[in-house]
Amino acid sequence: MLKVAVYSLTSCQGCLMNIVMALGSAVERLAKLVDVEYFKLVKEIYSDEEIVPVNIAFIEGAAVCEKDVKKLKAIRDNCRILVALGTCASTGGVGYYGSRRAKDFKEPKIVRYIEGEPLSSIVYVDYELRGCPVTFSEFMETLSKLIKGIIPRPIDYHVCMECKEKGIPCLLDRGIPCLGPITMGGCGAPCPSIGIPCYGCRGPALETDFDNYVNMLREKGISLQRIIESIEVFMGRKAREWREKYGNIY
Amino acid sequence: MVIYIDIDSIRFIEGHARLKLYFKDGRPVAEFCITEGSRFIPKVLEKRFPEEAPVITSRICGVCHTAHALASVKAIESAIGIKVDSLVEKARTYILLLNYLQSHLLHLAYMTFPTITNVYSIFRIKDKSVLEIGSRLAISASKVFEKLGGRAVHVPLFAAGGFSYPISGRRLAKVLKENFERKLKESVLFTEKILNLGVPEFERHRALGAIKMHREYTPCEADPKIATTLGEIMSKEEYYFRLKPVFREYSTSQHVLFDGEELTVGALSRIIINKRLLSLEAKELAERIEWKPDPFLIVKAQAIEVVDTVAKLEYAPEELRDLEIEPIEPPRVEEARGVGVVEAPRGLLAHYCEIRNYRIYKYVIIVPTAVNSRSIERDSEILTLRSIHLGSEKLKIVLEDLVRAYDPCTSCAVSLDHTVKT
Repeated sequence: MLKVAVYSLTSCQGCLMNIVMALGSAVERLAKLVDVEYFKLVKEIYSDEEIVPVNIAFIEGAAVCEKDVKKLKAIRDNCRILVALGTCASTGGVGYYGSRRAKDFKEPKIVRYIEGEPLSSIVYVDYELRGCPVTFSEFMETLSKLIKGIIPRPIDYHVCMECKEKGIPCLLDRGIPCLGPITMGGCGAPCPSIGIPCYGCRGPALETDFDNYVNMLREKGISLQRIIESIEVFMGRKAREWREKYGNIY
Repeated sequence: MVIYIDIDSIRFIEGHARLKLYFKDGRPVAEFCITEGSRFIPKVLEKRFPEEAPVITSRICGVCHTAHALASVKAIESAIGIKVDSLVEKARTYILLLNYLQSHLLHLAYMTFPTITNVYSIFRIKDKSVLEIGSRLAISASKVFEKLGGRAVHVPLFAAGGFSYPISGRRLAKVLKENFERKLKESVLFTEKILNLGVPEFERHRALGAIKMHREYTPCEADPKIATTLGEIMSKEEYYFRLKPVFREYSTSQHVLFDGEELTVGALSRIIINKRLLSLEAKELAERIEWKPDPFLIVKAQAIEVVDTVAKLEYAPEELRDLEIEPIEPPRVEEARGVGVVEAPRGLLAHYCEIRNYRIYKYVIIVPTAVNSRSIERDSEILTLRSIHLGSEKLKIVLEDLVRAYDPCTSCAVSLDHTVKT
C-alpha cells in the first residue's frame, strides 16, 4: 500500500480539524486505502520533527519562519507527491499578508520569521487542494485519485459560476463588494447563498480578468479600495500583484 | 537526582509546542514553549473596518473558530454601544455550544482517549466506540454549521447587533432538532467512558477563573462577570485590563499573567465555579467526581460539558421558535473601544477592539492558552518534584500527558504575538 503523511506548518488547523473530525467514522476505510505513516492528531508515533519517507505528503499551513522552510524542504525530499492542503498552503493566506505588515517587533530567540509564503514559493507542489477549510470529502476524493496515480485537475471556474448555477441573486448588482468573480470555485458558494459576499477564502481563480473586474466595479459604483483591502486577506501573492498594479493603499 | 527533560514536539495537541524541564539551583524550572509560528492576526486587523473583524478573527483557530468570531462581535458591540435582545444572545450561545462540541470531542476522542492509554495512533485503539460516538456527535455539530452557513468551520454567522443574515428561530430550531434529537443517551455513554479513564492525580492549589453563570450553565452572557476562586467578581473590562502579557524568549506566544500572578482558566474552572447550574443529566455525572484544582481533571470537566451541551441542544428548539432577526446596519463610530469576553472551549477568551477614524486602530486577543501557560509551567515543576522518583523516561510521559490535559491551542496563543504592545 502507498504510504501517506499529513503534516502541519503554520496554520489555524481548520483543514485538519475538519478532516479529522469526520475520520472517526471512517478509520477502517482510510486504513484499507493507505498506510498512514504520520498524520497530525491521528497517528503521531513519531514527533512531527521526524520526517519519514512516504509516497504522498499533505501539508497544511504556510511557511512563516525558517523552521517551517526547513521542515517543508525535508518533507519534499521525502515524498513523491506533495499536496498543499488548504488555502494557506496554496496562496500563503492570512500568514502571507500578516507577516508583511508586522514590522519592528521583538522576535523571541526560538524563531526566525520570514515573510510568509505558500508552499509553491519554496518547493515544487504537485497539487493544490484549496479550501478554508478543505472538507473531508474533498480530501478523500483527492487521496483516492492520487492513489490511482491521477493528479486531479485544478478547478477552473469561479465562485460566480456556482452562484449562477444555484440562481443566487448577484450581490455585486446590489452594490455589495463580492470577490466571487476572482475566487476559485468548488465551495458551492455558501456565503453568497446566505447573502454574505464572497471574501475569497479559496484564493484566486486560475485565470482571472482583474482589469475587467475593476471596470465592472466602477460601473456598479463599488469602491475599488474596499475590494483591494478584501483580497489581501486570502489571495496572497496574487493580491500583491493586483495591488501593485492599482496602487498601494497603505 | 538531577533531571533534564526536553519534549521537543508535544504530540496530539493543536499546533506545535515544546516543554523543557531542567534544574537550576536545585529547583525545577519548566519552560512551556509555543513553537507555532505567528500569522500576525492583530496586524491583519489594523486599519480594517470593524465589521471585517469576526470573519478574520475566526481564522485565528480552526478549533475554536466560533468563540473568536463571537468574542470579536461582542468587543465591537461593546465599543459602539449595541445591546442585543436576550433571545438573540440565546441563539448565539447555542451556536457557540456547537463549537464546544467540535472542540471538546476532538480533544477527548482523538487526543486524550488514545494517549492516556499510551496509544499514539487512532488505528490502534481497541475500543473504537469512543472514537465513533465522538465523531458522530462532532459531525452533528458540523452539520448544523453547514446548514446555517455552508461550512463546518469558520462559519460567517455573527455580526454586530445579531447575525450576518436573516435568522429564523424556527429554522434554527428545526436544524438543531434534526441533528440532536435523541443524542443525549449517546453523549452520556461517551462521557462515562471518559470519566472511567484512569488519570494521574495531581492537586495543586492556584486561582481559577471563569464567567460567573447565572440562570444556567452557559459559556456566554450578555454582560459577563468574571469570578475567581479567590472570591473576586469583576466586569469583563476589569478582567481584561488586569491581564498582562509577558515576553518569553523561548516562546512565540506571550504568556499572560493576571495581576502578575498565575490564573487557570478552562473547563475545570467553569465546573468548579458553576457546577450547580449544570443540566440534570450532566450534574448527575459530575457528582461522581471530587472536583479539585487538578489539571488532569480538565478532561473529565470537558466530558461533563459534552453532556450538558447535548442536553441543551436537544431541548433548545422550543426556546428559539419566536426568534426572527434581520441584520442591522451598525452605526459608524469614529472613535471607540470595547472588550468582548466569552468562555471559549479552553477558557476565558477576551478580545479588545479600539476604533479610530472609523477603522480598527488596535486589536488585542487574549486567549486561554496564553493565560494557562504559567500554570502549565508551575504544574510541570511541582509534578516533577513530587514524582522525581519515576525517573526521566516515565516523567517525560506524565509531563506530556499534563500538557495535553490542558488542551492547549497554540494557533490561538500566537494571536497574542510580539507585535502587540500593551
